[in-house]
Amino acid sequence: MKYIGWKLMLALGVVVILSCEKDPDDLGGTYDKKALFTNYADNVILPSYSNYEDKLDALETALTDFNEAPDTAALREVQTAVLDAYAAWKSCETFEKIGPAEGIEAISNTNTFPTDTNAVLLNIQNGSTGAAFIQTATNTQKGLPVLEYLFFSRQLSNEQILERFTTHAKAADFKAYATSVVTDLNRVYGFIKTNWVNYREDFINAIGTDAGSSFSALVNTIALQTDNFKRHQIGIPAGYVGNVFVSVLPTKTEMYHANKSVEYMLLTLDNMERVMKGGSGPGLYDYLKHLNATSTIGGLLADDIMAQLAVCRQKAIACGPDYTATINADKSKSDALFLEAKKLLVLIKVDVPSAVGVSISYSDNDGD
Amino acid sequence: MMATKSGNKNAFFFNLLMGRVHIAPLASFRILLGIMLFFSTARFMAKGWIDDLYVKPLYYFSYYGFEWIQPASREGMYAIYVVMLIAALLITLGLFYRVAALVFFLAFTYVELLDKTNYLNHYYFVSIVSLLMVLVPANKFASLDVKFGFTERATHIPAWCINIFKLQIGIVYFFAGVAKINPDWLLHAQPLKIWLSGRDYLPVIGPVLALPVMPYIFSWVGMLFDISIFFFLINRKTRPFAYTAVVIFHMLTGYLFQIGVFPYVMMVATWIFFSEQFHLRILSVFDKSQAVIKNYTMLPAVQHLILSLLTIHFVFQLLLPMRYVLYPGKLFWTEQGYRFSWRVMLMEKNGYTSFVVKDKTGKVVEVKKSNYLTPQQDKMMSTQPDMILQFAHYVADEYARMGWKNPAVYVDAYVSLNGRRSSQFIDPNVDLAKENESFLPKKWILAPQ
Repeated sequence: MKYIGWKLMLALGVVVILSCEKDPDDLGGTYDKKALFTNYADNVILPSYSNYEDKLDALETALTDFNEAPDTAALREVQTAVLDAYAAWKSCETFEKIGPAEGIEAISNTNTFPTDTNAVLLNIQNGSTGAAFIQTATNTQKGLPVLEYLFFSRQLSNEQILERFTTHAKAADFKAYATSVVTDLNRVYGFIKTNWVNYREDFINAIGTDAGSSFSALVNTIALQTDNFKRHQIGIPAGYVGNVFVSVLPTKTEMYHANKSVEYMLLTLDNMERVMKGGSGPGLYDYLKHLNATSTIGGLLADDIMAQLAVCRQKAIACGPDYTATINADKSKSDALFLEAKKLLVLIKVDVPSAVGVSISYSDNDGD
Repeated sequence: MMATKSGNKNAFFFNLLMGRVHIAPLASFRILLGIMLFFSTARFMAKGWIDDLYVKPLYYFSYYGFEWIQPASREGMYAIYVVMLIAALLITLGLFYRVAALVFFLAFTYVELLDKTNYLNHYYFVSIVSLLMVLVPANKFASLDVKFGFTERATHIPAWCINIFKLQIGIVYFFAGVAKINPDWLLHAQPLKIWLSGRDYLPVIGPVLALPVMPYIFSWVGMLFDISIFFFLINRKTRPFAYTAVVIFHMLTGYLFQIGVFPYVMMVATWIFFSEQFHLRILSVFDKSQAVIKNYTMLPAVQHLILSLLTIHFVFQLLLPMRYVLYPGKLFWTEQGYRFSWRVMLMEKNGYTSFVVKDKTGKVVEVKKSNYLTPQQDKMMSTQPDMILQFAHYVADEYARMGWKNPAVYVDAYVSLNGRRSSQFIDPNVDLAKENESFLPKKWILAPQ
């Protein structure tokens, strides 16, 4: 017995030494996950939300001023404020699956595009412009895309846009609708802000990899962001149903009226990179690097994701400056972008959860 | 006393089947198993899993050939679990024992056959053990059936009544060990590298788990444990150490991984390996007249029938885990012949699927899976080809019902296995609505890149 035991130990030792030799840059060791999530909460997520809060406040002020004295200068102020708030929101969108945001369906309420312009105009025509109405309205009739539609146009000049709020028979209702949309944005954000107060501790301490863990939330939220990027920002206008090409719908882009679709793709990619990296602190990127040293059998996943983000950026730029025009003129460019966005999605949705060993579904189970 | 070698051998096998042994280990096993089944059933109900798994889903992934098994209403499902609770209690008490064991087996197996999503090896084990329990007179000692005079007390039974459980447990461990003899497990220490890295925050043992060598030690020790534990458990001298090892091994894995009641199932099951003296001492509380010996005898024809059925059962038990060799491709990737083979904790597998339906009139739509599947069903489906096929058929039927003409269903699927980079899983150009489930190889599963 003893002899066999020693033999086993020896065999084990040999295997261990051999396998260690295979990974010369083996880091091993524990990873401070609490520091990672603290960094996410305090340096990435909460600052993004408070930036959005500032921009929403500024938007509210600009809109109040505009409503009191609608002129081209005030319109430009509102336009800037809408763009600022929208851009600030884009950096919050990535946190949909982390804590409170999902509870109030933040993305659906805040950024469902394209806006149903006919329905919005009909609401205004009917005087359905109160905040209570907006709160329960269909998602395509509320949120930032409505403001983008009301204050920007590919066809109308600023002077013509201004007429909606001045000489138009329903000018007061146009103003009221815009105001109520902002009120509703504040309502949604207010819910997130209030609930993050208590959620922060939970988030920082849920350092496991089970279904309710913060790793699960983080990986799920980046996966969702990538899915929205691929599906809504790129795929649907480029004509894709799922991953199958059907026919192009070039006006269904994000930021169609303001003609900033490509700019917003780049913004999304920047945000994804920021969230992958955890800003300048420890993030998923570092953690994947830490795991890469020991866990993944082929390739450096963390770097491959960064490389794929860069490829997507290139292909997005190639679709600029006007995504709608590019789809109409040269479909091969939007196809190429879609293909790369899909590769990014698979990396983030399949390879990342695998490397982290995180449960991507939300149900508990008996396991075996 | 001198016998020939073959005579010895025959006598050895005869004794394993027909030798007179004390019933105490079986009775004690019955009591403990019943308690364990009671608590795991109660736990299942308390966690709200009846609603989550058998009420809320709109669609259930039936087993091939068992499509006729469908869930009952919500009230019906709860009633079935209450029946299981009562049956488990009666098994422990040894009251109306045979009926209770049969009812438990039927109810439990019915529930397990409802949806592949919920397949777990230890559920399969519980099904088998509860079926075996129906065949043995475990209520002849330390039971209410004896106390109330529903059955005659017996102290000695044919050895097969106990040995079938030992053999079954041995098969579970042994095949679980054999399944670990693969390059991923032994050379890459996968998936344990991934899983242990997720546990490095645990107090005290966290930093130890984070040592690069630990996944290798866990993998090799796990494999050696599974392969050898049966032999150490049947050997009287090594048994105390072996059972200690069982407890440590299962408690540790239970602590580290999300595996629910599985560790307790195995700790209770291996209890039966202990000697009759050991079990007698425990059961002396319930049966004080231990000295009165009474042999249990079965009608020879009945015993013959049972032993024949058991022979068939165990032949199947030995062949089922090996059936995968009949399929081309890598087992972990295709999962053809994967279930019902005691392959436990061998894979970290993740997938992504996107289903698209097309019809002849040119209509195309991407299926919103969350309209039909729970997150857990979606997750389990995304890595298992037979479930992908089932869902494709379900989707085709749904769209045909909505008036689509001969809907075709295509899937774009990617899977990552044991820390490898992802690769396309299913041929995206194959109309799955036209492919049928069978035991034949599924040609539309792509090889990993």
